Amino acid sequence: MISRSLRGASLAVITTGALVLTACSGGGDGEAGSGAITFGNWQWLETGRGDAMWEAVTEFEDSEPEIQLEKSETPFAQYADKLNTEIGAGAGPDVFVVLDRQFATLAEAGLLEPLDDAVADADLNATNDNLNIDGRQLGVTWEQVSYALLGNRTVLEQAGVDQLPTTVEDLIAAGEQAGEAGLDGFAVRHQMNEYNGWAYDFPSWTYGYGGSWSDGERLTIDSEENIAGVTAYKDVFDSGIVPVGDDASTFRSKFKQDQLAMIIDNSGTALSLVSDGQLSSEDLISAPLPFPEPGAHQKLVLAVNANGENKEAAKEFVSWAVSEEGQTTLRPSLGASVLATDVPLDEEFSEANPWAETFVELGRTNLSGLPDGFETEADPIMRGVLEQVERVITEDLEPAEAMREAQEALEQDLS
Amino acid sequence: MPRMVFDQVTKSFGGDPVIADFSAEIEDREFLVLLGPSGCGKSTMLRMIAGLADVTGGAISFDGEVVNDLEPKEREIAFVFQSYALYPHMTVAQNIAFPLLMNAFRPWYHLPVVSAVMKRAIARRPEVAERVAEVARTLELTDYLDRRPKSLSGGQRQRVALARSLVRDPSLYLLDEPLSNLDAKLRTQMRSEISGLHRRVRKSFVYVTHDQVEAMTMATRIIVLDAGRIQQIGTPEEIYGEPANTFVAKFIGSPGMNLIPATAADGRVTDARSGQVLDRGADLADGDYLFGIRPEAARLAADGEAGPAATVTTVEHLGGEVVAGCELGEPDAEAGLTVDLGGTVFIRTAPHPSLTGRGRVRLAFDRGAVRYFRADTGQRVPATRGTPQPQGSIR
Amino acid sequence: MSYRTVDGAPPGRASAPREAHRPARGRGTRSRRRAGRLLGYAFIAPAVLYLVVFLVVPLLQGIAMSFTDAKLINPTGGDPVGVDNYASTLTADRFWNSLLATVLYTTATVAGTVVLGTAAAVLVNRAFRGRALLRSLLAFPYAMPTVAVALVFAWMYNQSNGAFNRGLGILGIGETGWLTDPDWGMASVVAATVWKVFPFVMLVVLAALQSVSAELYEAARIDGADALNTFRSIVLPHLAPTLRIVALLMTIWSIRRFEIIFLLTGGGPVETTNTLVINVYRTAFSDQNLGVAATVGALGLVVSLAVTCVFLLVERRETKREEAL
Repeated sequence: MISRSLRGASLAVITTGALVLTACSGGGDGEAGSGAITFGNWQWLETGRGDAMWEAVTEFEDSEPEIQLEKSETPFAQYADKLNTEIGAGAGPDVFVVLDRQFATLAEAGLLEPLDDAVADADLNATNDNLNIDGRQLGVTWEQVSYALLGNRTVLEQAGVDQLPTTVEDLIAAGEQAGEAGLDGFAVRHQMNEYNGWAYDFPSWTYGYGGSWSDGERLTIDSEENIAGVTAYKDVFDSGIVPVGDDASTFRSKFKQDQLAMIIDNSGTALSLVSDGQLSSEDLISAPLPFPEPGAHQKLVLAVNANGENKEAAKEFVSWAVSEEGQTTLRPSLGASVLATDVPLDEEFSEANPWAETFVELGRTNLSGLPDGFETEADPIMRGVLEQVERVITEDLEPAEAMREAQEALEQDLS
Repeated sequence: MPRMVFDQVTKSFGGDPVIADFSAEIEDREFLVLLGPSGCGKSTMLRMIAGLADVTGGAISFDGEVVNDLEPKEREIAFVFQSYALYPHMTVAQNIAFPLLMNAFRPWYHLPVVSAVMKRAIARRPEVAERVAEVARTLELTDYLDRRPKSLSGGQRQRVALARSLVRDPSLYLLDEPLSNLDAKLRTQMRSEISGLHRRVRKSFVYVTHDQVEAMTMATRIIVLDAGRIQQIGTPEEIYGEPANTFVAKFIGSPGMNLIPATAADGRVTDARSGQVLDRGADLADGDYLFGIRPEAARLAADGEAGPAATVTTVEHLGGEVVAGCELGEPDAEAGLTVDLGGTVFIRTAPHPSLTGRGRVRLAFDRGAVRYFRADTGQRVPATRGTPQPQGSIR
Repeated sequence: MSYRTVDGAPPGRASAPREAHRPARGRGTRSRRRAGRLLGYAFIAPAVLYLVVFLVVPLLQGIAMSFTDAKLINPTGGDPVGVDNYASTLTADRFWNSLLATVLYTTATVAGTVVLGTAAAVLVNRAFRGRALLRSLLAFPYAMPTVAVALVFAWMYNQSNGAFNRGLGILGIGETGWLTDPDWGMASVVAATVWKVFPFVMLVVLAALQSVSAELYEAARIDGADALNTFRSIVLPHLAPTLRIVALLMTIWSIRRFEIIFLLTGGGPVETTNTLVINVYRTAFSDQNLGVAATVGALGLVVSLAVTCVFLLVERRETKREEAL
């Protein structure tokens, strides 16, 4: 009995070992520049925009007929977790788009293929600088998104608000006016079960008051500026203008369906909102964030899997994506975001989408939402902060107290 | 202590009648047995008396009060189930005490905690504890009070069931085939215990069974049921001696009464098939009848005595006596075997050398014991005096 | 219970086969018995192999991982850190909050499903018109995919547009953040879980109820017991063994339930529904900290083993008590 189970166990170990070996050897170099490559990105599933973006991407096949692109689709909420798990197991798509904070951990773990040769001829702009780790370009900017205040013109008119607010007080007042008209005033993410998205867009509030998560040496979570940002966030929720419990897909749908007046969202989303015909470009209006300082931007990074089976082909694709041809092709579907090169807004696009200009403006001044010097710890830091912010809006915890607790807990965890 | 009156009681399930026009009056303290083959509706009748089944039509009254709509517990009855229906999770003592417990239970005892406390308190009350002990003594259960039913023998379980019904001192005991799960020996013993109980408590009993021995030995009055209709109401002697119709005649007795198709002409009764004379000087109108004779009233004819010829076909030795099956008529000598003889007649008599297979005998009948039934209706002629002719049985 | 045959059988019965074997023991018999024994092992080998490959090995790997600082993106590359993970996990509030959430969730879910399931079983065990229809309706939630249930509940719980708050609005009562208010999050998740799972209890209890002889109900009626007394004195003792098993199953299932909690709250609001399982998931996949996740998992294993042992001890005691009478 015992010997039998031991034998069983050793068999299992051998089997498992074999599987691991097979998985590890997946990094063999395929035929250079041919075959099929999978491209992972949650944006394929974005209504309206996803299809257009995929169409633009597959134009690559026209210039490189030897290479076929295949979609790998995962909804945003599960995207990061799934990609980490796959790549950790030595699998995953050949080329993929990741959030900048995830990029940092993947880069540190050595799971990204250097792209220096692939992008040598490209005219990369400064947004790519912090994707160059220790002299190796491990990723390029897919899009750098800014956050702006977006308004639904129809709803605002119904509520009697003639221009987008420029301060939090005005925002609350405008939201209350919408509420009186029987509509929802304002929405942003606010729940831990949307952690990935919330961590992505919350920094706009603290950065909007001049805050940041670190000074490069140590964490500065309990700084005055951050507390002011969290206080503004709390004031907005306390005012009752936010439909609490709505997740991003819910409040974005409401916004498109003329039930919600305002949201703070990014340039990528803004394009999505007007892409499926429910909301016209004229009815989407934009303004800088209603905070004293510029907000944070977030970057989506295009990177190649170091364990991919067809790295050469994947790098060919990256080469194309940052080339002038690629950038021009991708520009319309990436809307008002800043791209890897300084390719101008498509003229036709700017004309059709007057809201886009705000984002371009904002992109010049806003800062990265990543904690400087703690890039690879961005997730635990954001989680620690947002857990406290959640308490602020649900348990009436004082913002100062909350940020102090987050600072203490994180200092202990990261030491 | 009710005098029970059934007034045209009917019961049907869906559209199917199970009991039809059941009318009877039963005096107090009778031991009434509802007797009939399985499926005759006797258990249904008992359940209606108990209040476990609704009465579809007619009225059941106890001492003049109609009880159709009374709950079982309001009828002052006890019910002993065929399966005993002992509560398996309670000890014998708790089983016996349960009716008393429920009697003393007040709705507010249902409150949490109160319930457990009060149940224990009631069980300790002297009148309850003593009553349980007394009943247990009566039925010799004192040694088993702390046992659970599953560790008892069949007879002991039966006694617990009786004890549980006895403990409340009801005025009417209803027993549904209570002995059918016992072995033959135990059954005989319990039969006399139940009869003894009836004498001791001096209450009315209604006892359902398909076993005629139980009915004959225990009953003071029997109602024979078939297909939901009353066939006869009477004392065991009346039921046996003066069966109201061929059903009762066949059903009672083992074997039942012999019924030989016969024809009467000028007081002379002949076997319809073999043509032999069965009776002379009978006070009957001419016509077709069934000639009925109990096996013990038939015997072998003495030498030289006249009587119908018969051929012995089966012989069953019962120790002191013999039950022999005979076919009226003589076998055809050439064919070697009887052809189309009359029906088999069973006789119960002392052993005799001629009672062997194929033996040729002559039979004699005790004329005083002969009963005639009309061939068309099955009713006895003349109708027995003193036994009301049930309406349901006349077509 | 299976162990009743192991140690609960009376000695006489247990020794009988042994005696039967003794005189028959010879050379031929011995080899035949050995072949029989090998055949027995051959029969259980696939099951054992399955358990070893899919249970024992991962379990041991998981425990081993809890002593390393393995990260999700490099699962096999963790360095040993001794008991650091255990020390930090056990000293942090998160683990204890998560244990409390698990206990609350499990207790409430078990109580809710057992009470509701039993009540529903008693209801549909009665004969009435439309019983078959009601039975299937009540069993319906169990047949529904958990994900669908979670999504529908999330929608009904929605603070501004959900069915519950709209209903309350009509009654003139203010809205509640069912899934966002820390005071309500757990209750809302429990309610959704109970709705989803109680039919299982109902079906099992219904089967047990149908084995209560109809004559027992009638005997109780004759003895003057009302409905509540009939239930407590006669039906409940009959159901007790079933209910104990169901409660054990419900407990184990509640401790490891993931989807409905994850989809409704993801562990929030403010970690109030961050049960051990959700905690493991979040630590492993969102924090990407496999070592700590394995630690929380190992501690969770200890908790569920402890719960199971307590249940089995209670069950064994009850069985012995039953047999003593």
